[in-house]
Order: sequence, then structure tokens, then C-alpha cells
Amino acid sequence: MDDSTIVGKCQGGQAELYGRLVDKYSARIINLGYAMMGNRHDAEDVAQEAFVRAYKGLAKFQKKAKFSSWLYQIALNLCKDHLKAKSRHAKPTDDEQLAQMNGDPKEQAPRIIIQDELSGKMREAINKLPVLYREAFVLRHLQGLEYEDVATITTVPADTVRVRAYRAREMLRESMAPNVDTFWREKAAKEKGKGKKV
Amino acid sequence: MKKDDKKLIHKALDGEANQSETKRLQAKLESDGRMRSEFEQLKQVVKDTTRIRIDVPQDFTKKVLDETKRMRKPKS
Repeated sequence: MDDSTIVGKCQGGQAELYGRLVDKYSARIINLGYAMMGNRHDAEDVAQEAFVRAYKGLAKFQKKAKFSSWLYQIALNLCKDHLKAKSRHAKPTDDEQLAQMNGDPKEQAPRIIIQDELSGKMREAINKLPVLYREAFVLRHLQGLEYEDVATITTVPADTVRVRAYRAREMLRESMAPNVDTFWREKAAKEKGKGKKV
Repeated sequence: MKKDDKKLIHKALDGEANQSETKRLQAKLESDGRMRSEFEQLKQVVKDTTRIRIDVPQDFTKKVLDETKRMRKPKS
């Protein structure tokens, strides 16, 4: 069943079908929040709030729009509100929390999945991007959306989104370049070391 | 690097370069080491981004649906 049919049935009173939309989009919306805010707990809270708000607004939702774009829009606005509030009452990102811990952070915070050092550094770098560049970059590259869809969600022309994503990539390249070089150099050295032992 | 060359790189990264632009980029990358290095770094940035993922909590959908059910209940 496609999104539009599910939305129509929910609007017609079959509210229990809304779970299918939550199942379908929960990973994308939680990961959008995670990339935008850098904190797992906040990402889950914001995602839950986004789905509840979308449900509340479903009666007024016009089916000519895409449900996914509308949901992204709600989630993104919540993320931005959260970031604004956070800048007033500074709350640490997962990386900052990890940095404050002693010992192996992976052992002390088992719920936080950092797939490798490099992706941790990448997330840190993404969190330092200006919010407008961050949203363009995250929607385009992490969520894999077309520029036209990102334009609909962010309500700016597609060419503006292109420029923002371009600038974000350049900023990330500049901040990641030393990490990428060091990471690959260290990896190569480790593998060389392992080779010697065998 | 020239501004046009940068634009060409980003167009290629977005998969929006046409055939002649792709050829032009390939030729430039072969002759310009700095441009090649920047292009590789940018490709790596995009690739690494896709690794940033967290799992959805098992009870996430249930939590949302519980909340929506509460909203549907008539207030007494």
C-alpha cells in the first residue's frame, strides 16, 4: 500500500494503519535528527514528536503533497527549534559526552553506535556546519533525497540547496582532510604491523 | 583551483555532469594532482556520511501509536 493510500485510509478513520508509516519512516527521521543534533536521545524525542504532530495534522493534510516531504518538514522544523533552544541552554552532543568520559567510551556508552573513528569525526564536523548548510547536506547525502525534494522540504529553490550542499561539502572536506589522511595512514601502518607478526 | 573547475567537480559529485563535462573532468584530473586530490577527498566525505547511522529503538512505533491513541480517546 503506498503512502497516499495509507494517508487516505487514516483520514477515513483507520487510524491503526498509521503504524505502517511510522515503521517506514522512523529510521530516516531518527537519523535525520541524529545528524542535525548529534544526540541520540534528542533524535528519538524529536522523531517521536514529529510523528505525533504529523498524525495530529493528518486531517488537514492534502494528498497532492508527498507525505514524506511533509513529515521531513515537520521533523526538520522541530530539529531547528531544538537547536535554537539548545544554544540557549547548552546540552552536550554525544561526542562531547564521550569526550568527558574516562576510559573506553564505547564500553561506557553501549547504546551509542559509532561505527568507526572516522564516522565519529565526520559527525562532529557535520555538527559544526551552519544549520542551513547542514540540513541541505544531510537531506541530500545522508537521506539520499533529490535536490527538488530537498527544495520542497526546506522551501528554498533547488539551486540554493545545491549551493548550500556544495559549501557544506567543501567545509567538511577542509575539516576532514587531516583526519582522512591520518586515518588511512594509521590504518595502513596497523595492517603493515599485523602483516609482520604473521 | 579555478572556480569553474570546482563547479565541475561538484556537478560530477551530484551525478549531474553530462558526457562532455565528465570527459573534461577526467582530462583535468589526469593532469592536475591537486584537483585529483580534492576530488578524492570530496568523494570520501560523501561516502563517509553514509556510515553515520543509529538504530531505531524496538518500541519506537508502539510509543508513537500509544501517544496517538491517547489523543483519540474522548476526554471525559
